[in-house]
Amino acid sequence: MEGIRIGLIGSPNSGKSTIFNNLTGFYQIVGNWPGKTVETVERVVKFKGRHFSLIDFPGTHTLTPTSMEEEIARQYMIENRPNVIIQVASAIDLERSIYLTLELIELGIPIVVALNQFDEAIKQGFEIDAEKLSEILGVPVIPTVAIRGEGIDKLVGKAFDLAHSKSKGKMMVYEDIGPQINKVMDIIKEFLPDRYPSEWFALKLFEEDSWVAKKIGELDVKSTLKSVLEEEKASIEKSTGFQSSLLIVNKRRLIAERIVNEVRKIKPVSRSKLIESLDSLSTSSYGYPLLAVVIATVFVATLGVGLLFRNMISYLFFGLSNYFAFNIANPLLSAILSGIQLSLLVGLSFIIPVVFLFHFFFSFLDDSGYLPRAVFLIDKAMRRIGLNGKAFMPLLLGYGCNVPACVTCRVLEGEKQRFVTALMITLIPCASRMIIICGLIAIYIGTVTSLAIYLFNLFVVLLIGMIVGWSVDLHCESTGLVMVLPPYRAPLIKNALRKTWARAKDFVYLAMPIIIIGTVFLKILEIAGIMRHLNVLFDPLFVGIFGLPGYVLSFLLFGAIRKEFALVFLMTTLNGNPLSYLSPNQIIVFTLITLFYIPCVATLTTLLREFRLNRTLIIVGINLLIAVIIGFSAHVIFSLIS
Amino acid sequence: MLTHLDEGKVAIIKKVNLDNHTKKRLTALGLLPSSRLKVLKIAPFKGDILVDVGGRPLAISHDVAEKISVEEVEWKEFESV
Ligand SMILES: Nc1nc2c(ncn2[C@@H]2O[C@H](COP(=O)(O)OP(=O)(O)OP(=O)(O)O)[C@@H](O)[C@H]2O)c(=O)[nH]1
Ligand SMILES: [Mg+2]
Repeated sequence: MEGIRIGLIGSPNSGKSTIFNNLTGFYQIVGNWPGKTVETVERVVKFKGRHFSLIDFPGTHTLTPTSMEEEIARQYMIENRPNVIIQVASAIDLERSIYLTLELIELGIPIVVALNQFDEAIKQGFEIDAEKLSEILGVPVIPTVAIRGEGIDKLVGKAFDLAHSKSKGKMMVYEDIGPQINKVMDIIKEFLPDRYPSEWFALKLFEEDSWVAKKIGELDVKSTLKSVLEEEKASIEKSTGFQSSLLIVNKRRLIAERIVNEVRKIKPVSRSKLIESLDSLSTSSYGYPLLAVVIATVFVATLGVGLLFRNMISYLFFGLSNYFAFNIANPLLSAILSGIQLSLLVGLSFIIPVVFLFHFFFSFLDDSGYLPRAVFLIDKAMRRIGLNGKAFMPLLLGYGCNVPACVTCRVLEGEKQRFVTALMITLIPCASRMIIICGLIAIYIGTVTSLAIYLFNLFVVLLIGMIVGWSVDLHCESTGLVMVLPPYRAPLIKNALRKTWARAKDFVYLAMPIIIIGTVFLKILEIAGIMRHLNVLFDPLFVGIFGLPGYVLSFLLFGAIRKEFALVFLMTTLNGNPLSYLSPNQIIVFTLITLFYIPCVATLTTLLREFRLNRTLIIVGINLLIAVIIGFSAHVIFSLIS
Repeated sequence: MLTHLDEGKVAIIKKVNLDNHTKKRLTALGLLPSSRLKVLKIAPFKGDILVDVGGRPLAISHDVAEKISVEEVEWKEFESV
């Protein structure tokens, strides 16, 4: 059977991407916090002789979306209707999962429920009768443990069995209001394109779903629809005492609760004391210093171990290069060779270790389940800016790479929130900028200064967030946070390594070749004497404003492509010894400028896609302005002091 | 109001004073009249409230919790997990 499309749908953090990765061999980011996947991804799978395409959806608790990624998920589901849905339900969160099952059944697409995280349910003392659940819902229910691949075979098999059947689960919200819904359905059936489920559209009209209402509005509707709908709504309100939209959602929830009572028994179990006290500590007022310590540890560990690596590798390198010492008369050949040597040295001793270490340490944090607790604590403070706790994760991801961080802004509700958060993200030093901070400040000025730079940067980010948030009137759209906290989970080294590779591989495949070619190119320019002319051209401007030689402009231009290039080309141009060309103060000014001046090419592309041209230009403008102000002030302050 | 409960208290939701869209979302998450909840933790500085609804902790912003009126009940009745 070719051409079957299977969608993985479920609440946030239920394990959809784990199953997706398992089956496709592809890597979607997996971690222990809700809202990681924010785009639908479709991939072809060959699994035990079966071919199909599998779609990983963003997590959602309901088919009534509030944020952009939920909207995307739903739209994709309706417009590119899969043949079968695998609902990845969380066995430790049964009520909310069954609520979604009921909604999915209404869609009329055949569905299989994967009762995932079943191992954790057992640990928590839940005894869930999957067969009975399946009987009640009228859909297959299969316990799975995605991290160990348990039950996945059976799940896929069931999905295949269902793909061409018309089998549907039981429509439970229908009792009482069936006649009213049918009346409206009869009207819309006539003009609704076939690919849309008319029953579902009718139900959603009663639920006052704005997207469905808009979709219907775009069609050539019979004028009677509106009056019939109002009439039927009124009749429901009269007979039940509830507005139809609330009645429907209330019913679903109550049905879900009733079902859970029937299929789940709870055995008392003793929870781990350690986890219990960790949980309690991380959500109390001690949680604030804890958060600071945890995050600082990631940075200090990366810097510390990174520097260790650098010393080891450059020691090795110099040993080798002495051994192979070349003495080449041809200036061109020598330029090429020394370019390659220098760039390999900087790349291997520096870039690769720092980036890999940071992502490796961060992924433990990200898999543990600690971060959502930080969101709980910090929500209040974020609301001061006009954002909410949900913005914490995108901002934190910004320290790894600005690109996925900006995309993750989709989990925020409201256009302005997404914009302000993305602006703040572009000012956050990603791993590439960490390389600059590490390579220039930590090595030549001192580790404490590099941490001070991080703190100063954080201060600027929050200040800008506050100013811009205030000027766009952010508070008026801010909605409160309501978020299910995942349990603590022990991070696995294997997962951490896989995630580290996924996040850092660009530095090996993309950055290193450019660095080598670019360095050789610069070396050739240097012997051709072109650099000197460039310098003379820009000296007046840069010396005047920042007290920096004009040639740093070329580093900044390279840095706009990828931030770490600014450091690499500085190092290779200055023969690996910046202190003989620049003073410590100049190095600090230069580093400060690179932190803020412009989003890199990849981030710009992402911003354009997520926010269009206008807003992207505003972000770039603000970045430049901040860089100039801070670079200039730092220069003035340094010259006043000395 | 939910914000008036202390940590460890159990209550039943009486009313949710929010717009329909938010109400629908909260209902799907288990916050609707007649739901039973237990306050697990209150974040410092009048921050978020962590409640147990249906066996999983749910973090709720202070200003959302302010709109949820509840009635305290004896905690024995709560089958916590
Ligand atoms: N113990 C246990 N953990 C699981 C299981 N399946 C997934 N996990 C963990 O649950 C967390 C979330 O998994 P993901 O696959 O990222 O979940 P998702 O549904 O894609 O999440 P979003 O994209 O954020 O909606 C990760 O920490 C996984 O390791 C399981 O069967 N048992
Ligand atoms: Mg996912």
